[in-house]
Amino acid sequence: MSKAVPVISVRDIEVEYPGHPPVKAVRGVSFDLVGGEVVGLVGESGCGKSTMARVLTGLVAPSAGRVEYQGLELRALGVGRRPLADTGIQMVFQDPGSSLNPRRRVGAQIQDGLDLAAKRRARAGGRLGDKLLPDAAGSPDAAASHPATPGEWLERVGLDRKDAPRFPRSFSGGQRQRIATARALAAEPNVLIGDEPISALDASTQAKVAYLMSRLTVSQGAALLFISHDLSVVRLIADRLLVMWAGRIVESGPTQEVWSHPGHPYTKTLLAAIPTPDGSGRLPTVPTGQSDFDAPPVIH
Amino acid sequence: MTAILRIEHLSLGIPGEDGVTPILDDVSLAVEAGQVQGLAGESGSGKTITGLTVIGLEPAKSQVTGRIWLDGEDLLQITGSALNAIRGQRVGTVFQDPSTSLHPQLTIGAQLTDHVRYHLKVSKAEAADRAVAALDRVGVSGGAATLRRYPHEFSGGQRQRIAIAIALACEPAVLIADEPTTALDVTIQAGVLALIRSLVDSLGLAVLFITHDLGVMSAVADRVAVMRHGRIVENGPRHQVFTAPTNAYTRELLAALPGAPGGLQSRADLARMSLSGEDEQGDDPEDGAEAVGAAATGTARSDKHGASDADLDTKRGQDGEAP
Repeated sequence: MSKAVPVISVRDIEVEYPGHPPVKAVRGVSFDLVGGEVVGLVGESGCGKSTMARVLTGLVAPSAGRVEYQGLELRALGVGRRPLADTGIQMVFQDPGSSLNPRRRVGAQIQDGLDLAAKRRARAGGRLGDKLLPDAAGSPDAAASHPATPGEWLERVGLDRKDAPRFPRSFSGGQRQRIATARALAAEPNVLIGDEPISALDASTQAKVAYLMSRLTVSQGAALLFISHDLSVVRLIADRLLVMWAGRIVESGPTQEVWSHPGHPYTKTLLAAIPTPDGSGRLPTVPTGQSDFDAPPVIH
Repeated sequence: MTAILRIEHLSLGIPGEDGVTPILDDVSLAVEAGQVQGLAGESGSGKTITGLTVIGLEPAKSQVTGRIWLDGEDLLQITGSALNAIRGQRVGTVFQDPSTSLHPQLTIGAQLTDHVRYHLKVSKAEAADRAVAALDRVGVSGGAATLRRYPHEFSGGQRQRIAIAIALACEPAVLIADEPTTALDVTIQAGVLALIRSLVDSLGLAVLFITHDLGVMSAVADRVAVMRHGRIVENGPRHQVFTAPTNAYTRELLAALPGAPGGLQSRADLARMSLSGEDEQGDDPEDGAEAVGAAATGTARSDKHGASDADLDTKRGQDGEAP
């Protein structure tokens, strides 16, 4: 997978928020995203993971470093509309209550995504640049790879096509995140960024929505960057993990490697602190300090 | 062991335009000294209302039946100032978010001593001594100087420790902890869970521990009750509830949980789960059922439904949903 051409390249990104003193939220982050892979970006509050999501969507301008999207430098948003080409990066936000426009019918919001894809396709003079991966081509989702109507998209995310004229408020949190996923994927992105997209959902819904997001994104040949503070679900859907602490990636590698053999002191501490729902009554390990968290990053 | 706090056949309904909405239905629970009784459930299940009703903070106009025994006294028969004598002195409470449960403009000292002086009628100096001891117990160091500091000067984990110190300052027999670690990072959560467990073991505290997080529940609870739609569907020893649940809903919850016995262990399990069974089970089945009707009868109905959904959200909002 590392030999494939990355759709996004992040190089030495630094982000500073103004203040006295200024806050360095991100201190030199680099990674690639390749079409068809699911990458989990995990860390605790303040580690810089959401700032990275904002950089990748152009909402925050990095103070150093660059992001290349399809070979071109991604510029931060100005006052105008987002450049059409950049709408190939889509996002699903955390709060299902505010990630959809409450005053518009869900069908119309999904139609926005479809219209975006159509515009990009027209400008590109035909098909969009994204390609189906060979293994995804055989999956059940590939048969009708790109649903053409909001109704078909609703069915794709497990809802009813008759739901299209309804407003977001009449859906539960999990259903709204499904709709937000449909809206984002209808724009035929080649990168989908989920910033804590399941954190506000009940536990029984979290895994289902996360799996749906990853399955549909991969079947479109797009890359999914799944940002979360909760490793227990991420480890099931991600091919690779990036662990952030204090604005840096301290460990990266295939999910199973990082989960089973964490190398960095912070990753070890983080994994040991996750309570296991096994009924054992075992308390999670209390961190003893963070003196060694500045150790060099571990790359599997 | 006899229970210090015993909830018997507690039912609660909230009257509205369309009649009384049932919130709790025949809830019975017992919390013993030196024991953590867990109360698990998803948003809207009624777990928070159960805790609030114990301290008389159920929504106004609620219709409550049943009994809540605290040391042979029925709390539901007690009102007004008599209830104040119980809240904070005999029953302590820790809420989810320490950044809102602590008063931002009062020093830690004021918040730690006010209720101590009110309940125990001790001098200012003695209350301060007790406050320092209470902070010591929860692992917040700095002694008397700490009392002059404000909540914003502390991290989230320390603030929650301070909230626990406040709850325990009058040495109550019962602690109600409502999602006390949900707003915290896991590495901070680990310390707070260890603290609560050690307080239970050393002080013989009886804790009603409310959480949606079954991982946390597994770490800290001795007994686990599972709530759904205002009813307790299962209540038993922790190990049994996790490894041999008798209720179908409990099994369903565990099956959707990574790392639980019989839960999701791999991506293959995820794929299997998404192929089998109801897609949005447990999320809000009633909402779904009504939603079908709304879709069938068109937009006007959908709007009306939206309004009633908003009302439901308000109730859920009190349920301490994860941020």
